[in-house]
Amino acid sequence: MSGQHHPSLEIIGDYAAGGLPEPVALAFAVHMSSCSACRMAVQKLEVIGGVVLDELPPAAMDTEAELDRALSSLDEAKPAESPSEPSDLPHALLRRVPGDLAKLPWRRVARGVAEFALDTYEAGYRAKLLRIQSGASVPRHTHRGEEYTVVIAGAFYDSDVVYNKGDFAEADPTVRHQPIATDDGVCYCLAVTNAPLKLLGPIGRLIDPLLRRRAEH
Amino acid sequence: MVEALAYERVRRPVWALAIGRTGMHRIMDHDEADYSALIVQIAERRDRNAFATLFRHFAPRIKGFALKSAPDPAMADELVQDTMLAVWRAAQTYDPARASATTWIFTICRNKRIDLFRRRNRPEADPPEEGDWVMQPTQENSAEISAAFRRTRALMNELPSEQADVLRMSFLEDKPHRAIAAETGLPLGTVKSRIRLALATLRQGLEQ
Repeated sequence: MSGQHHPSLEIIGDYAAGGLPEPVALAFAVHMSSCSACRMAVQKLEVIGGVVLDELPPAAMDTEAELDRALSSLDEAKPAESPSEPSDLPHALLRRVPGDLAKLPWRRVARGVAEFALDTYEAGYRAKLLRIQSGASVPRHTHRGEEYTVVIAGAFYDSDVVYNKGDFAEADPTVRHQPIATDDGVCYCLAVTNAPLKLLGPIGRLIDPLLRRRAEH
Repeated sequence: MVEALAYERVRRPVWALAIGRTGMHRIMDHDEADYSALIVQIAERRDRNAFATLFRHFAPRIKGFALKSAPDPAMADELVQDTMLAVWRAAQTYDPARASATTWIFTICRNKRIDLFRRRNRPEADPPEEGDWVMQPTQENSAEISAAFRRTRALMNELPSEQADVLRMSFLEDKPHRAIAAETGLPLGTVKSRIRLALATLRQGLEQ
């Protein structure tokens, strides 16, 4: 049930610190939504931030004037938002896509594989949802940078390792792989990259320069 | 400063609670429990005096925190307002058994900084399900939270300074590791490995 494959400690720490690039933070938030161990790990590391805040020397400010300003806004302060309509998707994702993934305008990229690009707010990063039909495989590829993948629904396997809902995979230029959806149904993933992928295999090598050119524009 | 604050500002129930729970020495050391109790008072009674006490303690620190990422005093004051208003609004969601007051306010401040400086929302995990990780707030849990805070601080002080420095920078400054590398003149790989070593030491130390 809860994810067996977790992000590296570096990602967990960077999320706690607040410096993790937004698309990677999105992938990690999706993972954490089904992984209490990583939520606990973040909680423990956030104490570092508490200590850092506590040991900061107080900055010069007109505290009483700013306090009056805050006090006069208290009554306007709205209560925290209540969660939106129920959905199987993690909240972090629901802020970005409608609740029903099947209705997205998917773009076919290979047999049984379609993608939907998400807006990213971080220069150099791309985030896309992948829909892999049961038994279909993503074209064999390696990476020019880092790739972070989290399973939203269904499962895929990569070599002999199975990634289920919530599982998090990290890959870099040393990894060549060809993830394949299991036979249990459609697999939805979020994949985040900070450099274009490099397709392998005879057809991949042929079309890779075209894809790369498109990715760069 | 903290002692004066406890005498002058904190009202009787909190004061009594803090002594009863943790003893005098804790107040002199670091009165996390006091600040937690103030947040609980805001949640339960919309207590403006409790808010004022929290504000006087945390606002100048939040401002200092903001100035670490951008040297813009007006924007830093905005971060103070955003954070403290969020403390008022979200006080009901504060669980003293899960986080100390300072750590909780750090997380709000960190998120508001991302919202304010980068003009976007921070992706968050879903709220925990029933029986998942929510502990009942008890005196034991609150004592554990205070102990974890002191333990984390002690572990940070034991780190080699080259690791502690980059770890602090990664929490203080709203910058990716690449920017820390540029600022310190260290290779990116060195920054990453120092932070990783520091995190691993802390994680291990906190599990003992």
